Amino acid sequence: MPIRGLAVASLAAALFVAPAVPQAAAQSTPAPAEKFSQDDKFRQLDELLPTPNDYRTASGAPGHEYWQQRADYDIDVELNDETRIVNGSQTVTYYNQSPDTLRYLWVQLDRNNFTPNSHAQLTQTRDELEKMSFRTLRRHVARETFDGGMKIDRVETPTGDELDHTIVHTMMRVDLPEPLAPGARFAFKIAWRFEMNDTRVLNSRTSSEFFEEDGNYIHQVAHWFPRMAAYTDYAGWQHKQFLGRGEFTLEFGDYDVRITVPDDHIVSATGVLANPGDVLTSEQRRRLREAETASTPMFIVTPEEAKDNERTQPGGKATWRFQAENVRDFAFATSRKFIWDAMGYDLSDRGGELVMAMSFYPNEAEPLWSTYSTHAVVHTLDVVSDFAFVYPYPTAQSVNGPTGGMEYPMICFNGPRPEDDGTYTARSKYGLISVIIHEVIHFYFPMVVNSDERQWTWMDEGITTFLQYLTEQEWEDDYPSRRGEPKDITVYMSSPNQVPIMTNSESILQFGPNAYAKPATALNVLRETVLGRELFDHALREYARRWQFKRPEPADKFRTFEDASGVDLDWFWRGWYYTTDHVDVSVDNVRKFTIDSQNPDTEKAWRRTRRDAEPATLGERRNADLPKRTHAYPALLDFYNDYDELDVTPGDLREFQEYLDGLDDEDRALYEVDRNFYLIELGNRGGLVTPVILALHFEPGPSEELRIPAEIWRRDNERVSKLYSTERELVGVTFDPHLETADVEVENNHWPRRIVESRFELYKWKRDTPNPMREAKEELERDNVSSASDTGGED
Amino acid sequence: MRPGLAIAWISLLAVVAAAHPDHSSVAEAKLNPKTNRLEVAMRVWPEDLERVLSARTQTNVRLDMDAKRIDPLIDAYLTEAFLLAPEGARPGPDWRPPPPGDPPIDRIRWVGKELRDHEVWLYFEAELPAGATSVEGVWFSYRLLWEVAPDQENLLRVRDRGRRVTLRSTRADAWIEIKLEPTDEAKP
Repeated sequence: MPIRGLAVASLAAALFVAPAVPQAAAQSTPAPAEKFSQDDKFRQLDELLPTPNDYRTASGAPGHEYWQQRADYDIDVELNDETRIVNGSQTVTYYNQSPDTLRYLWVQLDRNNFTPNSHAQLTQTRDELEKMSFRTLRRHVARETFDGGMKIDRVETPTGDELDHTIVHTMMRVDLPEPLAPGARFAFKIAWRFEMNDTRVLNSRTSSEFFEEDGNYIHQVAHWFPRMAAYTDYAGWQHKQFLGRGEFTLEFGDYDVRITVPDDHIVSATGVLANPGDVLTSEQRRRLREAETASTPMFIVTPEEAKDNERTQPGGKATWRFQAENVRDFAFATSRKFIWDAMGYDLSDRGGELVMAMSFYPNEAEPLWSTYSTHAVVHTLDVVSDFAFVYPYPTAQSVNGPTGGMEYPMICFNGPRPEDDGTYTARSKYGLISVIIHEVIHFYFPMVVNSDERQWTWMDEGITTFLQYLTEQEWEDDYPSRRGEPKDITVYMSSPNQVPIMTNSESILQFGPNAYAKPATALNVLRETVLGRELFDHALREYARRWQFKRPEPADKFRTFEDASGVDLDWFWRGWYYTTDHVDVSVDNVRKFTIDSQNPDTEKAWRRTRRDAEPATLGERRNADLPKRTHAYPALLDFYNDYDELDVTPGDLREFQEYLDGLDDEDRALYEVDRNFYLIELGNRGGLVTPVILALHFEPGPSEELRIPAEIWRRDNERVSKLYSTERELVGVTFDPHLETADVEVENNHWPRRIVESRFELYKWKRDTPNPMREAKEELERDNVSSASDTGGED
Repeated sequence: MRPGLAIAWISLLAVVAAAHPDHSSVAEAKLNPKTNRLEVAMRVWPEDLERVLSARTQTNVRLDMDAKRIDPLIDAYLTEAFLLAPEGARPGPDWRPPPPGDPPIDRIRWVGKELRDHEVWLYFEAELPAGATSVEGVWFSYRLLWEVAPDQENLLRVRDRGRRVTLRSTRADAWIEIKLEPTDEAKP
């Protein structure tokens, strides 16, 4: 059946019209497609991903020979509240669960990042002369002299034999007296000390904050002890030095830590307090028991008691003992300023156990913290235990102090506080809730799903920021989330000097957008637009289940999502994670076609209408009134002067009847359908292939939505045409009507083209638009004033 | 206000203040050919802007304070932080726009702001350099918040009569020559 207006002969041919492209190059080689000017954006990732093996399978799961090392720590540490000197000694028991024999062990000394000549300090660059405030200058000079590095006093066997060791910046090699065979373990001791950094000199993930008003500190102590470097199947020993951004790559193990502090301090730490009888009052212990079943957070140390504590002097020292099983790190916070609240959260009906959600904060954080902190902790456990796995640890703690937001197993440090007068803005409130949600999600990623942070910031920050958005949206209606919506990342996506997500943590440009917002948005697009919620949520849960208490690499994540969803997503990982392409789809044109009925009565009438609608040229108009020779000699007129090729002839009618008679019943039924055909032409300006979401506007309405998978671009990723048939009249097309694809340029999303007002123009319009409510209010106030004056004023 | 010190950065100021910083701002700008001014909508994290305004005034500035007091502070700050220099050689680090002539030209015309729970949008118009009728070839510097966050990265999506480009301004790349991308129609 011919389509009117198309050169091709049949509808079938028109439906499958596509550019002539050669077959994609063989998958095994990345040879450029020299006879086709496009990259293959659907090329499988085989050349980029590591070859599957017995440790990591092609489906993205841990292999049957998967292994990881283990390190148990037994630590005694004392913090001097006045000098901020931290002294410690520890015994590490290292389990070689690899198939390899090890002749030395590498230990991480991340505190050495805080020496004046650290690599972080030496490699920092600046390009311009800048103004510097006195405060900044003071900190700068102090930073150049402050030495917060780790001093190693002894490295020895449990029996006191010294072990050779070599410090290499933020790492230390410990040479073993005998090679450590697969399956064997080795215990050794390290004695060490360092000075905590005061926030007035150096504020970091770990800091001591001094309060001038009462002369007390809050110490938040992290990456504070020599930790085993990771030894892995994919990289051997982790040997990227700590430069400040790429965080931690760690092994799981059990911890037994005894923390000695002034006896009027309250300590919050990874794990469970093992000696409450030694350090808590009987009243505090009673409150803790009561809090286990409380429906709202209960004070263990009240604000008044914390205030009293601020004025006391310690009577001596106290040692708090904490134990934690199967964690990858340990952090703690200590202060006499701490208020402490707690609330039990029972996960037993979901296969978990009772979790004590707790918060520690000074009076300066009130009333914000007692209202929101522990609730935010519990809310996050509630939501994320559904999206990932049931929270596996016995405590979840949020501590206020100098650190803006940082996570460790079971404990996180969060900075927001109210104003000095106790009032707070909505921004402070949501800032606090959001940062707690974010850091508590880190209790799952990477504290349990133990990705390699030193290599890949995005692996835990992306998924955490994504889940933060979901968790926030379940807190209250219209929660003001900062990241997650695709429309919020469009300027970044189009920006220059970008690097792909798959960039090492230390080399990232535009750190926040690159490692947090973009991977979070990618997961949002994957969930809402590519896979749908059911498939995505299943895949995410499977990824978390497979890799809890194990160490996933990027390929394991990519492969698991495909394996669990049943959808090839190589194009998605390639575009979003390996390139800096962005989505910019333009609706270039829409062409209308209708069926050529071959009925001469209708078709020739239609063509005549078209012909008659053609405008006369200027010459034709001016020539129309010229005297013509045939006017003077009518005999010159003949058959052809009356002949119109668009007249219906008996031959036309006979031919049409023969055409009808030749149609079988099925073709006849199809023939009688009255439909319009629209060819929607799309251009991919940004390079990133995307599902095509089109709103089709009809006259009369309503509109329809057409959702087309990204594979529409698989043969030509620059231009495609989509044929759409309908009985209605199409009057407009909009790409991405719900702003779900992160399309950076909305002006070209409309056919016909539409002027899209800028945010500036919308603001001016809104600002200049009369406010009916305000006007009504002002009118009412005028009336009140008027009636008050009528009655002689107030009593 | 205490004066700042002009000093060369010779070493690291400090490692990041928070473990999870997002030192970025984004702005959308469109040239209004009738007025020859860029109409700018700029999104900034409120706490960052409060920090820099507090430092400049040595007072505790909050954006929800009286607009009559706060808006002029932002306006004055933008006048220093949002710079457009004429076509030609790359401006030096100390380049500043010529003083207002007669009649004085207000390079930044404050329009207003929208303060939300988690972000603030600033609206203003920026005068093109004298003689310029397009942003093409104009030098641009967007020094917002560099004083308080050395790694601050500011993005500007700029449009001029159907053409557009996104610019990224950092301390390391303080001046950028605006080169608009081809229009959709001009692309292959």
